[in-house]
Amino acid sequence: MKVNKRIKFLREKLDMTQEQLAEKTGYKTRSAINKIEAGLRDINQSQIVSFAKALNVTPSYLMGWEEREEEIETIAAHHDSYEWTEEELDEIEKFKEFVKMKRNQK
Amino acid sequence: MTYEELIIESKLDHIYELDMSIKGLYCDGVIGISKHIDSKEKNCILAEELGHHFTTVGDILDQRIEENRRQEEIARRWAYRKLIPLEGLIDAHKTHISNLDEITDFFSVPYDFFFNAIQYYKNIYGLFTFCDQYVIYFEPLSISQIY
Repeated sequence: MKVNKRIKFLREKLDMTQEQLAEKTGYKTRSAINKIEAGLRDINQSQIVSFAKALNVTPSYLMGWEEREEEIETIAAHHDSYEWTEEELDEIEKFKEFVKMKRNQK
Repeated sequence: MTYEELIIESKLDHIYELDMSIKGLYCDGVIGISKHIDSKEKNCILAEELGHHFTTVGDILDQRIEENRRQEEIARRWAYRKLIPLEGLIDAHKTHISNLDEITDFFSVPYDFFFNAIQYYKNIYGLFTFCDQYVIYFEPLSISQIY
């Protein structure tokens, strides 16, 4: 996961809006945060520190240098209905295990 | 673009064909595609999963949640743009494609994916749009060169 996606992921996990994050990191508008999260705008070293603080993680975690991502972060499926069958849920669990296994091989 | 071409272009190391009934799964940089579907369908499923790779954040499996449906829709639009770009429609026109079978073969996608892509363009552009030296009409689908 890249820094921009990690920022978005953490912000949403904290139930924070883009406005709130902008305020905490010293940006004037939410559109700056929007661009950063979309990967259209890079952030510099001192901003990494303020983002990490606002998102309650260490700067190195934000950069993705700490490989402690044991849990699944992003998962999506191609599916035509809202309900999952037992068999499909089982397949999803197997796929998650498969992904964790691949991750540990790296 | 065919399924094989899309795999190469994606530059993603972790695309696997798996024995599963779910057609496509994406999880943290790893894509699983059902091996039980034909290559046209694999192509559009792969494109959607790549869309998730580039745009989705979080666990969006529960599609009863509006925000998750929104992210699903964004990934789908990414797939339409990837497999059926406006420039591609013009290329298809230049090869004198005349019917639906030919055009879906040209793009290597199933009928419904093609229709949905055109519907998506219609929703954003209205009845027609300009691209290069051409006008593309979406209903009925036709392309004319501007002189």
